[in-house]
Order: sequence, then structure tokens, then C-alpha cells
Amino acid sequence: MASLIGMLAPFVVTGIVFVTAALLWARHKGEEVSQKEIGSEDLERGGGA
Amino acid sequence: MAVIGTVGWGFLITLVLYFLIIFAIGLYGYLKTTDEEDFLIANREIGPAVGAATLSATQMSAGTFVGTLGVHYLTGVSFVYIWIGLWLGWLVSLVFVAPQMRRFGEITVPDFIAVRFSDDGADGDRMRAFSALLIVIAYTVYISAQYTGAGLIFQSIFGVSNVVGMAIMVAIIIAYTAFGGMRASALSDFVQIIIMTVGAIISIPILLSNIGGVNELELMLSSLNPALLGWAMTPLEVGTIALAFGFGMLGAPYEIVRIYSMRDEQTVRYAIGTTLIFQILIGAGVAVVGMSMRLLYPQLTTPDLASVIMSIDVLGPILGALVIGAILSAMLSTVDSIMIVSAGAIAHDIYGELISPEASENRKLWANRISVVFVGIIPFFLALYGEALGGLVQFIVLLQSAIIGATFSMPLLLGLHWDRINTPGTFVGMLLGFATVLVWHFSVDGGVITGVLAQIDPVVPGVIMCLIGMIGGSYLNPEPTQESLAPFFDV
Repeated sequence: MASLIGMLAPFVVTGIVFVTAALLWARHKGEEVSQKEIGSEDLERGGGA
Repeated sequence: MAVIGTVGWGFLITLVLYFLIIFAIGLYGYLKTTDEEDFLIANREIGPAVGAATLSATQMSAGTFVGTLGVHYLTGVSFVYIWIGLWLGWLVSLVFVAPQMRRFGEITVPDFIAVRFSDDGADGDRMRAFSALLIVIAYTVYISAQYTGAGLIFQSIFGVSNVVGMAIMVAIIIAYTAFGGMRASALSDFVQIIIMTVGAIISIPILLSNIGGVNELELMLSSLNPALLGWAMTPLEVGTIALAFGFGMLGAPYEIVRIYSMRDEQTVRYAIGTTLIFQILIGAGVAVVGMSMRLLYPQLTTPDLASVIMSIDVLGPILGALVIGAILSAMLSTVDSIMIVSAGAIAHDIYGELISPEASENRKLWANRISVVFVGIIPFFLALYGEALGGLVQFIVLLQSAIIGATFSMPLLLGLHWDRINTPGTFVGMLLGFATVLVWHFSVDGGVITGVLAQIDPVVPGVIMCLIGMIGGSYLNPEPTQESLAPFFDV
């Protein structure tokens, strides 16, 4: 017999995967931007290697 | 069966309280709004939580709580998978469209079209007018369908006539949108999405306790029709509708305006991620509620009544009013967003940019308010007398999402990422996308397209033809000018 839970579970799991991917992407882009900002601050101070 | 038109005082008081809160938010928005940028994009002060709420509430209209719930009532669980298409649309937007649009930082979608496709021989004015007109027509007419739905709900609950129900709805929504603008719209969306989510989730245990639990629900649905628990709608049918929603969401100007109103690109990314959480909860909740109602009320004359009858008959006065509030919220939040976009297209793009660029900020602000009243009242008459225009109103209502998806999604996506795409190509692509949606729709209706192809939503061929038109038209014409590329590419 078909099951409601069996049909809904992949839907919910896909949703959770998408949410996780979206939030991880957001965090990754945020870190990328802050690293760029730190880099540009270094340049402004004449710093760097 | 519910005795429609006879609700108790508890129900009425809860509903009135809800509307008082919405009006208070409208008043707050009015007091805080000082110029056009404030009115249309809330001075770009929206944070991630309100941002996520406003994206979700705007996306979910009465269609979700009345139409989608009704489809689950009729066909069972498989329709839930259309949400995946929407989410894919959001993920593409997250990576390729939304943060870039926020970085661009203008006020309306025609602003983007006018700058990126400015080599039209009129500094982008022709492309601005063309896109603004498409938005005004598709969206203003679409609002009429939401009014009709609201009229039916008011009629069902209070026993008033359909016209009176619609008039109440029109008065409420114009009042708080025309004065409160985007700030009121976004904050009321925040309240509304919480009510929608709570309403969708909290209904489930009450319905299940009436049925006898999940196992009983499965057993009874299975004995009623086993397909209700399987793929009653084929994966192809669900997939093509999912694609239609995904493309529709990717280019939807009413969502892009929400994106413009957020603080920065990072806020946009977190808001999109969080909006998916609301959607999982509401999507699953609406599916279970629809199927539960099928068992409790198997003989409804129309499945669209399932949510209203559940609210009046099953949930009790407070929760019932809350769920009706959720349905009306879904309607209000979608309509207020569409009104702001349509009003912006008239007041900002056509009046402020094309007709009277020298107008003062205060004049522009009031042009927006008056435009809201205009785009709010016209659909009321269309809802009442639309039949006099033949099938035109019904046709636009049915196809607005496909028209917007087929004309805007690719120009936004390719315009932001491919510097070879030029203005003539984009114009041809948008026209081809629009025409393909019409031709496909009438060909299916007239029996020219049949079988598996007839299951494909018009937005899919519409987007494909828009793509072909954009690429073909761009390569047959000179490269875009440096000026039109400069805001988006390193040139």
C-alpha cells in the first residue's frame, strides 16, 4: 500500500537539502566578501606580504 | 456541514483584531514614508527575517490556501512536488539573479531593463516603456482574480454578497498599501507569513484527531482511491507545472522589488535561504490538510471551499478565524506586492522617468499613492464586468505567471551574465516568449497540440523561444555599447 509518509518524506528531505545548500552558499559568499574587505584594508594600510 | 454565513462572535473578534493590526502597520508605514524610494523599496532597510517573510508571503497567494489545497483534495499527495520547481527557481535566483539585482540597486525591474538594454535609440526609454506596460497589464488584471476569491470567502463567512465582499477587500488593501507603501507591505507580510505557517501546521493535529490518526488517514484514503497516496498526477504533469512556477519566480518583478528593498546582497542570500523553510512547512501542511478534508467532507461541491469549511466547521472560532486570516493574508500580501510593482511601473517608470523626470520627490511619492488606488480599483471593475471583454480577463489571469516568466526570466538572467546579449535580441526574445505563450495556450485549447505535449505548461516553450530570440537576435545585430554594459561587466 502506498504511504503518505513515504510520498512526503522525499519532499521534506529535498527541502531540507535546498535550505542547507542555500544557507551554506550565503555563508560562503559572506566569508568571501569579508576576506576581500580585510584584503582591501591591508592594501589601504600599505600592508600585505 | 458548515452553516456558511453564520460565524460566532469569537470568530469575528479575532478577525477584526487581525485587521486592526494590519491597519496599525499601514499607519506606521505611512508615518515613516517620506519619498518615492521609501514608498517603493522601504529605503532599503529590510533585514533577513522580514525579508524572508516578505518573499514567502508574496509568493504564496490565495492560490496556495484555496487552489493548491483544493488540488490536494482532488488528486492527493503528488501535487506537493510542484514546490520543488519553485525552490529550484529560488536557488537559481540566489546564485545568479537576486544578489546581482540588489547590487545594481535601482527601484524597479524596468529600471534594470532600461539601463542594461539602453542602446534602443532612446536611452532605454523604449525598453522601459515596453517592460512597464507588460507588467501593468499582466499584474493589474491578475489582481481581479484575487478580488474574486476574496469576495467568495467573505460571502461564505459573513453571508454578504460577493460584490460587498470584494468592496471590503479592495478598501482594506488600498488603504494600507497606498499609505504605507513597501514598509507597511513588508511588515504586514511578516505578520501574515507567521499566521499562514501556524495556521497550516496547527490544523493538522486537529484534523488528524477527527480522522483517528495518520494510519487511519492512509487506510481511508487508500480505500477511497489508492492513487491519492501515489502519483495521481504524473511526474511529467507535476514537473512541467513545477518548471512553470520556477521560471515564473525567477523573473517575477514583484519578488525582485522585494529584493531591492533589502539591506545588502548578504541579506538577500539569507532571506532566500530562510524563505524555503516557510515553504516546506506550508507546502507539506497544505497537502495533509487537503487530503484530510477529502475524508471528512468527501462531497464538497467545489474543492476550493475545503479551506473555508475547515475553518468554520472543524477548527473552532479562534483557530478558524486565524486560518481564515491566513487565507486572506495570503491574498493581501500578494495583492499589495503586485500593486506596488504595478504602481511603480506607472508612477516611477512611465510618469517619473518618461513623462516628468523633473517632478519633485513629494510629487513622485503621491504619484505612486494615486497609482496604487488606480491599480487597486481597476481590477475591482474588471472582476465585476470583465466578462464584457470576452475571455480576455480570464485569459490574462490564467497566463500572467507564464507571460511574466517567459518575458522576464531570461532577460534578467542573461542580461546580468552575458555581455554579448544586446537590446534588439532581448526585445525579439521578449516578444517571441510572449507570443509563444499565447500560441501554445490556444493550440492546446483548440486541440492542435495533443497528447504528452499538451501537458506542458506554456511557460516552458515560451522561455525556450525567448532564449532563441535573445541569442539569435543578439548575434544578428552589433555588440551592445560599452555604456550599457558598464554597470554590470568589467569593460
